Amino acid sequence: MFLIDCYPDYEENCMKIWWIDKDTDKSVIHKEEFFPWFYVRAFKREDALLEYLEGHPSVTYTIFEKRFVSLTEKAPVVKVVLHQYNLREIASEIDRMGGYELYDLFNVDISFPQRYFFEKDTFPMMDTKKDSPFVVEYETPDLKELFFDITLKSERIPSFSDSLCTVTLQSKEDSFELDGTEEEIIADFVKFVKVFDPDLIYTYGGDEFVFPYLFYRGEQYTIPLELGREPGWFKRGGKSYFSYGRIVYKPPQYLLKGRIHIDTKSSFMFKEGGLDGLIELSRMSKIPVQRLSRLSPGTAISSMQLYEAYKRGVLIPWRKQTPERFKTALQLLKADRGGHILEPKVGVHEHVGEVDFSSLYPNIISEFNISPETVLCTCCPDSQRKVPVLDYNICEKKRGFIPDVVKPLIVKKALYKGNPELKGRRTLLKWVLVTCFGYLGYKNARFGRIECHESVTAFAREILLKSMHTAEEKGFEVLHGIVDSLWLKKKAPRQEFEDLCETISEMIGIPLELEGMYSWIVFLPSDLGIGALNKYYGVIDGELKARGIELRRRDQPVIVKKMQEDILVKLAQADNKKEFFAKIPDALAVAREYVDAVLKGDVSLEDLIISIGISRRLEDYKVNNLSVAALKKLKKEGVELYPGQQVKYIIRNWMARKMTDRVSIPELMEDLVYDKEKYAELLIRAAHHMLSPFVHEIKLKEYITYTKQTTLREYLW
Amino acid sequence: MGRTAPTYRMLTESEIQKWNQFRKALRKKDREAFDELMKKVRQHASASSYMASLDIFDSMSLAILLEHEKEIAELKKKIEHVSD
Repeated sequence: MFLIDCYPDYEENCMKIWWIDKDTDKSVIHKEEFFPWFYVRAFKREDALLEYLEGHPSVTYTIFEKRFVSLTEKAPVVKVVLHQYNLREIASEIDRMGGYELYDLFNVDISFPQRYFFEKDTFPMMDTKKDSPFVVEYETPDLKELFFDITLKSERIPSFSDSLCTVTLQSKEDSFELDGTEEEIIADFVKFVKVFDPDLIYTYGGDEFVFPYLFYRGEQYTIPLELGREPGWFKRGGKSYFSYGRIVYKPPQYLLKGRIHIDTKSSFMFKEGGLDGLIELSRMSKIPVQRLSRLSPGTAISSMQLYEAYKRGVLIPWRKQTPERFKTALQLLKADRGGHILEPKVGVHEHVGEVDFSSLYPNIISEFNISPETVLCTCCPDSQRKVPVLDYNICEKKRGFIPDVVKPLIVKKALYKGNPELKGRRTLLKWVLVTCFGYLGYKNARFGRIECHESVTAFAREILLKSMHTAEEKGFEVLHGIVDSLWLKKKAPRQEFEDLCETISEMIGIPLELEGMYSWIVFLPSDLGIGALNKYYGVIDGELKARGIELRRRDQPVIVKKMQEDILVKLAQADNKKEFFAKIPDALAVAREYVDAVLKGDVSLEDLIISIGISRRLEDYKVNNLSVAALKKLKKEGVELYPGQQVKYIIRNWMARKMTDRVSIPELMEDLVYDKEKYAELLIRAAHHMLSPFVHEIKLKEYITYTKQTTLREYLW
Repeated sequence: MGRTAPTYRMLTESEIQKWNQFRKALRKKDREAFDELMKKVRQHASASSYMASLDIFDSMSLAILLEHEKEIAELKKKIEHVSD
């Protein structure tokens, strides 16, 4: 039996768990009595608290315990056990009674499935009780999958007022369409899902549009849209929020009961890791697949941390309250830094190898025992283990709890390496490890602490410099370095690079790997005239690799990316520096072809689309730019976008006086007009960007637009 | 990082900005020389960043001296070649 879903029933006050029988592939539901609890630490007025709890109908009993209220401190607390699932309400009420300061609450905002899994020591997608989340070879359930999509009677941008045209259903075996009147289609669809009884429903945009739309259309004919194994949905509204200087839009959520709904359009984790990756992470993090597919890797690592705390008997604070230690301005300047970066040497290079530390930050956490309770611990102030430069002491007596969370992830990721079938698992583990470091310094992360964050980057800088010195001693020239990677130059066989990696790995205690050898690599300059950080392209072990050029940026039209790709393909034919120079004329010829095509109108409109993530609502924009013009046009059509969503447009007439004449919306397809000159300019700029160390911009433009007839040789520096 | 306290690269840029008035009063040739000097400063931003001293102008000056030292060494080599 495989556990595929688990959720609370707020009416019956019990947990519902869905299993799939391995032999029959049938699903079975189990109802399980489960009493949730939380803890309160009263600083004052404990009597009022007890009185409130005693009289409350949801409270089964209370008991006094002595527990860890932080990673280091034990204190008396009241454990409150409930037989009803209104835990949040009660907790909020207690918090309010205490004026938000008299009572500290613990284990409040843990979701019910997590509580259940933590307490029973089970996990989603588990096989039998013998299964463990830490094994690397395990069986996964054979889920019955269904994909469906809808088409509307609409020629413009789809909206709720358009009626439903068809529903296309696709299973592993076959696919077919439902048609007829709208009422028939919806009724048939609901019936079909019931009979076919899939374990997993895939949609494309189910959360954002398909389900809300079907709900709305169904209501017109009083057809209840019941698609789960039990009636009812878990729904959540959409919202925009701010994260690391960027606005992100989170669509509403439509979760089924007893069945998994994955929205392939909005699920970051599904796109990155596929179902196999999701299952792996679901097992590790104890979050059911359906929920997990809508979360960020950060939430997964959080859940693992909560479980580790739970296992160690540490209570989980509702709201985190450890303040930062005071620092002087100089300390802050020294501590508040990221990874080390070495300015690259601009131009084209050969005999270059790239070496990377795999999972450097997580490895540092695990190797050097970095955890909120071990960094600057009070038990060993004279510890021999110190953070370089910052001089923070690290505990010598006990192993931190974050290293214990991280270690299995590092090990698993390494074990999955080299097996292409397990790439999804590896990718998601990588994401979790990346965010794990971020969560050390994040102020809302419950077990985060900024000093840990600083310690990790301090170790990383030291390690990069040590590696640089070792490489130089062995005769390598260091061309560029970013945080955990170095680009080294030496006219030497591959083996010598490998040997260097081994030497450094042994010295540091963290594996350094040769990512590959470049036939050639170009480092691009920044506007300030020196090497730009992380802007390069080259051929590594026969494959193209590019970073920081337009090709990888989202705010450029598709055609720019296509041109750059074609230029790269031309350049990639070169096997060394000399051949690279010989290929530059071919690269310019590619740019010329593209510019010609744009000027002649010989391009598909699809390629001209620019999509930009918007950061605010239309009425909040103070400036008038192309995105705003596009938003205004969309609004006229009755389409409103939320911050974090993408707006798509084509530049129609860059110089037009009226803003709305400057852009057109691809879906509306008003006419085929676009600003030829502007697109030619974008192409020339992008081509120059790639070749700037070799060709002057003005000369390149003259060559491409035939303004001067001269031989090509004159255009090269 | 970069939000609570500015990064070292940001500090260096604002220090260069501070000298903008000085630059403005220079002749074209001198302005070009000034810009060349600032390029040298930016080339060593990573070392200054690693040290994270509060005397930004000091590390800027040292970065320039360093580049000059390298240029002198190179020129010396060339002169030797010529005198041979």
